[in-house]
Amino acid sequence: MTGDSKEKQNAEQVEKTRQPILKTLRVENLNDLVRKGLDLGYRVFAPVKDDRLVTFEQISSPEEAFLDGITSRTSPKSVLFPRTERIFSYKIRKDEIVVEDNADISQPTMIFGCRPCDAASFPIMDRLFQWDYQDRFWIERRKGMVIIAVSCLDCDDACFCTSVGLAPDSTEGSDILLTLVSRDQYLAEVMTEKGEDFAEKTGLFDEAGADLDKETATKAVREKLGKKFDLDKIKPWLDENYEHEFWAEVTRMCIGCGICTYVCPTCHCFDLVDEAHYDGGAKIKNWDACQFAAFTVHASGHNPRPDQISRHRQRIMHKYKYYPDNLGAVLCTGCGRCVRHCPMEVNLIRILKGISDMEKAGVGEE
Amino acid sequence: MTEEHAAAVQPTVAHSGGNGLENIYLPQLMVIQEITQETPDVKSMKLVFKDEEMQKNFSFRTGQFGEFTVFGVGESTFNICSSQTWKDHIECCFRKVGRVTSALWEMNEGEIIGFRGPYGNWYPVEKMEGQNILFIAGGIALPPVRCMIWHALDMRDKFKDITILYGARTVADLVFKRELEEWQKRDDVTIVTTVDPGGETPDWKGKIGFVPTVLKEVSPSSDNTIALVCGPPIMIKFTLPVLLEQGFAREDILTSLENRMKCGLGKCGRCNVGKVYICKDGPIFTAAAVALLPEEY
Amino acid sequence: MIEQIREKAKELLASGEVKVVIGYENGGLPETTRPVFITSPDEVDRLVWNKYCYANLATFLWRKEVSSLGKPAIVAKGCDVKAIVVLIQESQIKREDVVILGVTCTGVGDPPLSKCPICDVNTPREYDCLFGEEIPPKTDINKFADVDEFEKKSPEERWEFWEEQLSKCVKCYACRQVCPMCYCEICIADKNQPQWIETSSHTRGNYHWNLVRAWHLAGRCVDCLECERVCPVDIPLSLVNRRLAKSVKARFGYEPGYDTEAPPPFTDFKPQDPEEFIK
Ligand SMILES: Cc1cc2nc3c(=O)[nH]c(=O)nc-3n(C[C@H](O)[C@H](O)[C@H](O)COP(=O)(O)OP(=O)(O)OC[C@H]3O[C@@H](n4cnc5c(N)ncnc54)[C@H](O)[C@@H]3O)c2cc1C
Ligand code: SF4
Ligand code: SF4
Ligand code: SF4
Ligand code: SF4
Ligand code: SF4
Ligand code: FES
Repeated sequence: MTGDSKEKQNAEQVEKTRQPILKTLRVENLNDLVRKGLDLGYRVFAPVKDDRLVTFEQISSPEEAFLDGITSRTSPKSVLFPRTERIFSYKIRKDEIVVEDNADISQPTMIFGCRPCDAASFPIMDRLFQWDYQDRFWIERRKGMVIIAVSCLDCDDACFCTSVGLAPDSTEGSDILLTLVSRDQYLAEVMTEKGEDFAEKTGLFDEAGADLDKETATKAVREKLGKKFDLDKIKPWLDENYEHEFWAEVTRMCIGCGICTYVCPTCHCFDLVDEAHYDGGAKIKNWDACQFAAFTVHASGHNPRPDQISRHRQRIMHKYKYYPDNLGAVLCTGCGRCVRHCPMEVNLIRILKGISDMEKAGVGEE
Repeated sequence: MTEEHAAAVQPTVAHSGGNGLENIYLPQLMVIQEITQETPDVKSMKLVFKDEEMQKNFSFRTGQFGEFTVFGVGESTFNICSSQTWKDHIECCFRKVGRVTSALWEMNEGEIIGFRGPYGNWYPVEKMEGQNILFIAGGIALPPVRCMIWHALDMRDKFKDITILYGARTVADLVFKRELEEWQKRDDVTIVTTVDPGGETPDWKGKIGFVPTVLKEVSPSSDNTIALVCGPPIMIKFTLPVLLEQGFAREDILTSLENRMKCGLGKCGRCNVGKVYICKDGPIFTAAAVALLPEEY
Repeated sequence: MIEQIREKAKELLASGEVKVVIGYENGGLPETTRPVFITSPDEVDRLVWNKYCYANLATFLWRKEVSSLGKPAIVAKGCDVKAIVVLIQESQIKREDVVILGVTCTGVGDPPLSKCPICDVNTPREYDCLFGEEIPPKTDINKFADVDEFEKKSPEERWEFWEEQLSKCVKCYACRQVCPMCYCEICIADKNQPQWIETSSHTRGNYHWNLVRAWHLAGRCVDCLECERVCPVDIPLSLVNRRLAKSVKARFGYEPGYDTEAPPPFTDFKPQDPEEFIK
């Protein structure tokens, strides 16, 4: 609820999905796709590998992109929601403060080569940034952004997209989804007008024949992924079991390092700070996370979430109960990053499987 | 700030980026018009928008809050402790506890701060009209109650009996002392002030005792009465059972939660408690609604 | 060896001598383990010991989520024991309040982590019970070979290297959270009056953070390299911490974690200290 002095702005759909248009792209033309993007003036972000570390970086030639990994270490959310961003600056004069809203966020941007789980994170987060107040930093960047994702043909033990209603070839969030269907050909599912527009401008796509079948291409990885827990069982259990000994048991080893939230494509919590220099300063938006003790501590020193067990419960509750309650989507795409990179192997899959098993067995109900 | 001073300073309107949506994190500039030191560590401030048009067009509802920027230092959440019935300025009242409040403490009349708001929900005034109101506040938590007290007093005939119970640790910690005296003098308000045992001065004429104990003593009727309770978590914890004992329904007890906030806009995640965002869905909740929340406030 | 550990754990829990055994269990992903807190003798079979027992469990000795369980026994490798030793020296725990289940160790990781080939505590230096064959300490190792190598670079090259590395830091503070020595209730990074460290993760703020942390660990860092292991963006943090360790060793002949009785150089004073920084 907001004051009636504040006119509620109509949430504009960032995302317009419709029947996909099927096209093909020859593998040898993949690099040209990136080059075309660059020529058309897009800032192109792609996974870039440096030793063992893969992150989303701005690239200036297709050769820099690394498409062979499973998921990158950090997620592409940083393209729309940088870990540190100046949201306005100001000059302090004697009797005056001049505020300058100087953020330049309008350049067209292309995300190239992200995985379907990452593409799916964008529409999930749209819900929050368009919820009630409109966050232009997210929304305007989103409008100028085209997402070209690539289906997975392999996965690891941490991946669990199929357990949260997605798949290694799901099209959610992609403007164009490429699936390698033969040695020299990608099937391109053009999902949005933005995607169609882009595909047309590049002139690199051909009409698809009827014989192209992505199901066969991704069958092996689907089978390898299987289902790791029953999503339908999670929320009913969370609804009833805010207090449960299970929480302490599965999260006592969590050290609150926050890696899980910082690598996560759907975590979006932030802090606002002022950074000053002698005659001015700026308001900066920095990533922050519910895993940190300082996140909730009151000025009096009272902390409503006083230990890591309650903080970790918040993470799971927020992703699998509160966000669905409020915004109708699970705040998790099953990308597995938090599982893969947790230094203490807290392992979200284990926790969710534990919950779904308990709920199945009827434990924890009244 | 004097009128000449106001005229001397060019109004600077914060402008948005020009490509569509406005920047919701951008503060408006406000001038500190008057500062009152309430206690050794509490000050209240009268604020006016630097841009006169903005001051004219600004409206809010009693009980809402704002994000106040000390430029170069940071942003803090305060209740707008003036009533929506006052049009020419807003007020805030803060305790010096940390970085931003300490910097604000050092500021002078005429200086400029930033303001974003109004945010959050407000007191259900329509529901309260025609009823008795019992205000209960502890310590620095008078501001979020004080705005509603003034609102009720400004529209006195719309409400029935008004009772105020206000307690602080010591006499020195009572805020808005002038107003307490002013209310004391009125015959259309019952006001009880109390200080914790040991916090009294030789000439203290109010009660001595903790708020819940004094509440029991005063034993206000719960018939057609809405109670507004604001104070430190511990006070609320012990006051609530007393009110329930007096026959108040949880739906008729209101409180303002003070979780840590940053954006005030339902984005930054900090104030999320259960499925509620205190900044968007609150800060004002009935005791019935609070009972449904996980105990994270 | 794991059988003996389980046996001992069972005995300690059954007798009530300890309330919790801090050890490792198998993780959910292959080639991982997870810290586990065994409070019942019936559960000791969850304990495992293998080359994936990376975590330095000493951090759990002061975390309230674990210390609230009661007196602990802890499974500790040689490098973890060094951390326990410093915690004892710094009065964070008392020696008699922890039962150290020392394990001899030939290295963790596959291939072993960088700390392992130059380890001289394959047999822990302090323990209540020792599990595994004793391994004599290696002698002919240069612990600081990588630091020496790095110092050969020009200042400009080093600057450039750190600019690039630290620009990656996302300010998650995982390096601090995992560190058994970072037990401050309020870290300097969380203080805001004054704001010693900018919270933003621009390169300048990142320098503040990583250098301040390194300074706070000089003479205290035990080289378990947990910070480097966990850093989500692979910053070679050991190069900073170990550069300081090298100086401390050269100047004070001191290496933290080897002796509970040794006076730590920054809390001790000797008349013959050079004190050239004052001049
Ligand atoms: C809806 C709402 C209304 C409010 N209304 C009022 C009001 O009317 N008046 C009022 O006075 N207050 C009010 N508050 C509380 C007020 O927002 C805080 O007291 C204020 O923001 C403190 O700001 P600060 O920058 O001075 O403190 P900070 O410098 O931010 O210090 C406090 C915070 O900083 C961190 N911190 C820094 N140093 C330490 C340390 N040494 N130990 C622990 N933590 C530390 C913690 O996160 C702590 O919460 C309200 C809060 C809310 C949510
Ligand atoms: S779950 Fe793992 S990654 Fe997340 S805060 Fe806890 S220890 Fe860190
Ligand atoms: S919670 Fe974990 S699996 Fe889910 S989206 Fe975030 S990082 Fe990926
Ligand atoms: S509350 Fe926690 S889990 Fe939820 S988005 Fe924020 S950081 Fe992520
Ligand atoms: S440093 Fe030594 S004790 Fe530690 S893991 Fe490596 S070999 Fe084992
Ligand atoms: S763990 Fe790495 S990324 Fe995180 S704060 Fe430390 S150095 Fe920075
Ligand atoms: S204060 Fe940011 S979400 Fe409520």
